[in-house]
Amino acid sequence: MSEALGVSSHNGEIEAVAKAFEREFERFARFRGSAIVVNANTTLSEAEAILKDLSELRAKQIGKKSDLAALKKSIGRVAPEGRASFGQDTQALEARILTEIDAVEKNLAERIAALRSEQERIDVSLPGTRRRLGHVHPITLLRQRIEDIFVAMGYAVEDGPEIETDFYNFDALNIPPAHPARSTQDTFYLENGLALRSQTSTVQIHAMQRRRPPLRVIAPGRVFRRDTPDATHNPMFFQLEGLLIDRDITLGDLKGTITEFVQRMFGAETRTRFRPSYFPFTEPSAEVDYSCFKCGGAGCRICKNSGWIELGGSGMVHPNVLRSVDIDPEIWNGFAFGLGIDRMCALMYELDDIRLLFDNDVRFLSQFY
Amino acid sequence: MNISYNWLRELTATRLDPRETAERLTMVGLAVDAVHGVGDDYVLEIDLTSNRPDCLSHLGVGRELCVIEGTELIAPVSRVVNAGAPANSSIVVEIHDADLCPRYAARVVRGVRIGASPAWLIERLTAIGQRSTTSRTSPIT
Repeated sequence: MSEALGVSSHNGEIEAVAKAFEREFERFARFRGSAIVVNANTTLSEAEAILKDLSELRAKQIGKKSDLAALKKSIGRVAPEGRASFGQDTQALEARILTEIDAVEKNLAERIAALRSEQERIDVSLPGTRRRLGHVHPITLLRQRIEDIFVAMGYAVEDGPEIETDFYNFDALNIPPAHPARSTQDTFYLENGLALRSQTSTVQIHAMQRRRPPLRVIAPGRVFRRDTPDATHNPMFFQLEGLLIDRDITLGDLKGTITEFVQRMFGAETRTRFRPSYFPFTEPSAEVDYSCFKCGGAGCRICKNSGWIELGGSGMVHPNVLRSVDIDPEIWNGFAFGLGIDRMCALMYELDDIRLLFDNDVRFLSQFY
Repeated sequence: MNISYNWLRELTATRLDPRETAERLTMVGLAVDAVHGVGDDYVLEIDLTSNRPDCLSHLGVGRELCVIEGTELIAPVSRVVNAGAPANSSIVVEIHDADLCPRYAARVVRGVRIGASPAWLIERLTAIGQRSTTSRTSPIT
């Protein structure tokens, strides 16, 4: 700046400060009008950020280090005859800047207050938001239906561990070491002679140890076999075991019980048939088929045109099994049976892949209730 | 285990067709999983349970089928001509542990000609999914 400034050049400096302010203030100008004009889409956090920027602008424009402050100090170098008008002009500029900033600040503050109260507003007349309810898994659904039928026939529901010793998984079930059935079990062996149970028949042994005869139990549960997963196999699946021990039990009791079960499950017209089979823990043993619930035995896709669907294995409890838990086979006898819950589930819901049951895809699972 | 229907018919003179045979065997505990045609024969796939080693042969399954139908098994007649020097002049069997091997039976067969198996044998072995090479290695089931 030169020694003696002319009035016109002072006006130029004031003008420059005013211009600089206007440039900086431009982005706040849209908030200049009434509170309602503040963009309705402006969120609370946006409005707060703008307010913060504005207070920074205020410091920059009229603070001690602002151009305006420098301009006011320079009054001493203005020629005496021009000082009065220079002072008036600079004060007028300062007043204008303050007015502008205050107006916008007030609008923003109002907007923020409005947004805050909106956010905190509670409409007590609104209906509650519905909580999403969980679903019972289709296997659980079926298991509960089966349990209900047997419980109504006087059976207790038993449970046993999924990790078993050789005694429960094999020895007590009349499967001694080197028995051919042991190799066909395809068991998942663990360390220390433990194994994942390959059948729920293990629970027969636990049940007979816990309760003394006479007894009637069912034991639903998870079993494990070394199978490669495909549409009809999974290394983990669900079985349901049944066991009855009493005096003078015959194969007729077994046939009657299972027939009663399938009739309550699939309808009174359902028939059963028993085919001789072999299990180490029952003698004699039988595979059980029931007439197809879909076609009634005429033959369809579900029963592969045979009219019959496999239910599972059954038989009269082998005397050796009773002896293994110190029950005298001369006094007590009984029957046992086992059925696959997943297989029944896949047939009833016409699933073409059993693995769908274990993928835990909510879109699939929520179709069952 | 694969069982040839034609072979079974030879042993039993069954009046049942392959499907009926499969159905009846299944119902007495020899579960027939599948029946499929091989040439002019049918093969029955039997899922045998481990308590029925007596049925691990065509003869055994034939015996079962005869019981179902109430007929007599037409067992093939095998004739053995004892000739030449005693067997123990050719081979000696010694049992070291009578607990593990209570009985050992051996017979010496002389005059075996090694050559291609006869056509009827090849046909039957092929039907049940086995490969026939020479008369010495062809298993007779």
